[in-house]
Parts: sequence; structure tokens; C-alpha cells
Amino acid sequence: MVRKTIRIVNKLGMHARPATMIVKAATKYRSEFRIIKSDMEINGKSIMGVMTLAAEFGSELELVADGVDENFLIQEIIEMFLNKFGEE
Amino acid sequence: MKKIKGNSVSIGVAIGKAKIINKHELYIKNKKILKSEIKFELSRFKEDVKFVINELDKLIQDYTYSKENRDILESHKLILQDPEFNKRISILISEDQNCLEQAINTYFTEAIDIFSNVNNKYLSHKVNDFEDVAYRLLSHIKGERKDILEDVDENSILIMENISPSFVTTVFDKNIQGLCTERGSRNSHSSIIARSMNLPMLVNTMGLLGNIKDGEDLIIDGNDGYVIISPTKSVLKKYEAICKKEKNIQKVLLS
Repeated sequence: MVRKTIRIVNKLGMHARPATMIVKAATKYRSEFRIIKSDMEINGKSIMGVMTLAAEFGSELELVADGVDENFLIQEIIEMFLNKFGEE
Repeated sequence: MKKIKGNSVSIGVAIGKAKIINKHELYIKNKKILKSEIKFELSRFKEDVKFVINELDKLIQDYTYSKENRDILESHKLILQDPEFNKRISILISEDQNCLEQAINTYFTEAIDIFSNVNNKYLSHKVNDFEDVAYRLLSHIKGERKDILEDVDENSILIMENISPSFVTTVFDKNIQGLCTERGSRNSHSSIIARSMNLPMLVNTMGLLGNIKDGEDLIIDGNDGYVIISPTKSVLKKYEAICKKEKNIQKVLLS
């Protein structure tokens, strides 16, 4: 199991488009993927879950992947966050 | 003759007949199923979701107007492929013994509720998408798919409360004169397409649906932002002249 903490750096926060990108990427892997925001924990492969996080600019998220390809999964997701999902 | 003010999002004059487009209400029955029916209901769920996903795939393939709309349809697919959606429906059917349509209705009502209350303007409009997907899936399950654009012809001016994201595709494939909606905004996807197709369109037309009957003569004045219902002969004549002039200009610009 791998755990990484990340901060949202794109200005618009986790709106529909980034949420879609995360789910699409995570679904390619076999590992389980969960995202935790303060007291809320959701399935990172669920579009409904990721969107209900309603994570705003500056909020902190914990990413947890568990399974055979956990490292690859986390790496791809973290890159998306760092690239600000192609936004500002 | 009646005149209602709206916001013009695409200029030009359209003359035609009102065609009121209503999504027809689905009646959801709340029925408990027997233990022996659970397996059948679960397999029906799988097949119906598969059917609707295939349908969305076809729309995505055929749809060439814009990437933005394809993205919307892709996100509708993700809603149906959501593992939590699957889990929740399975529980509602096997443990609570809900029939399929009730289970689906419950799930989407909860989802729409969550997004209506979320304090984030980028997410609150997701309600539309969940409503769209719920309608698409439930109308298929109930076998109540009707082509609501069946009687639309090249004379029609479409009158709607609003244009939902997945409906945009179908609406602009039809040969029509113009559009008018009671809600909507200048930056909505439908407004952008209307402008690109030179179709006169008004949004935010308060009291629109209460004042128009299906088939009534109609003028959309997209230059001044008015919809004119049952125009008098002289008003009609005036607008026919404007319309002719605009068509000639367009012809020159396109030649």
C-alpha cells in the first residue's frame, strides 16, 4: 500500500473535468484507489465519489493505492495534480 | 399578438410555428420484488446499462460539432460505469428488494440531492448531467423512449424550458428556424452552437411556456430580443422583409 499527501494547486479546484481525468486514469489500473479529505474517504475510481469531495484550491488530499500496480497508479495521479490538470 | 422579452444569444429573425418540446414525465413504480426475482433484476440492470453505454458511444462517434459536447457525453458514460453505482444498485435490489426502476431512481435522486446542496459552482451544474443520465436509463428500462422531436420540421421554432447537455446533439441535427428557452444563458453550449449555425435564439424568456400554444405563429427577433406570438399581418410583413434581407446578406457572405 502506498500513501501520498498532495495539495490542490489548480485555481478552479477539483471540478468536473479534473474529476473525470482522475477516474479515467485510475480505472486503467488493477489496484484499489481511495482519496481521503479530512474526515471523508471515497473510492477514487468513482466519478460520483471524486466529485462529491468538492475539493477546492489549496485543500489537502491523501491518496491511497493498494494492489499490484499501486506505484504506477499513484505516480500517474500525482503527475496530473502537479500539472494542474492542464489548467492554471 | 403578444410580445415577450428575452435575452438574445444569437442574432437574426426567425419566422415559423411554435413547437413546444417537453420531456415526458416518467412514472416510477415503487415495487418490492420477491427473493426469487433478484437474480433476474440484477441481470436486467447489467444489460440495460450496457445498452445505454453503447448508445452513448454511438452519439460520441457521430457527434462532430465540438469536443466539449463529446466530453459531456463521456462523463455521462463514467456515471454509468461508476463502481459505486453498481454496488449501490446491487444492494438496493438484493438486500432491500427494490425493483430495478425504483433502485435506479433512488440512486439518482440521492446523487442529484448531493450536487444540489454542494457549495461549489463548478459542481452544482452537474445536477443536469445526473438528470440526463437518469432519464436516458429509466426511459430505456421502461420502454418509453419516444422521439420527442418527431413532428419537428423546417418551419419549426423550438420552445423549451432548457436544453440539457445530451439533448443538444439531437436538437441541432434538425432543420429548424430558431429556438427559444425559458432558462439558459449566453455561454451555454447550445447558445454557442446556435450562433455558429446562424440560428436566431433567445434565452431567459420569462413566462414563455405559459403564453404559447403548440403550432402558433411565431417570430423570434434575435436582434432586439423579443418573441412575438401570433403577430398581426402588418408586423409579420415587417419581419418578413427583415428576414429576406438577412437571408440575402448571408447568401452574399457565403458565396
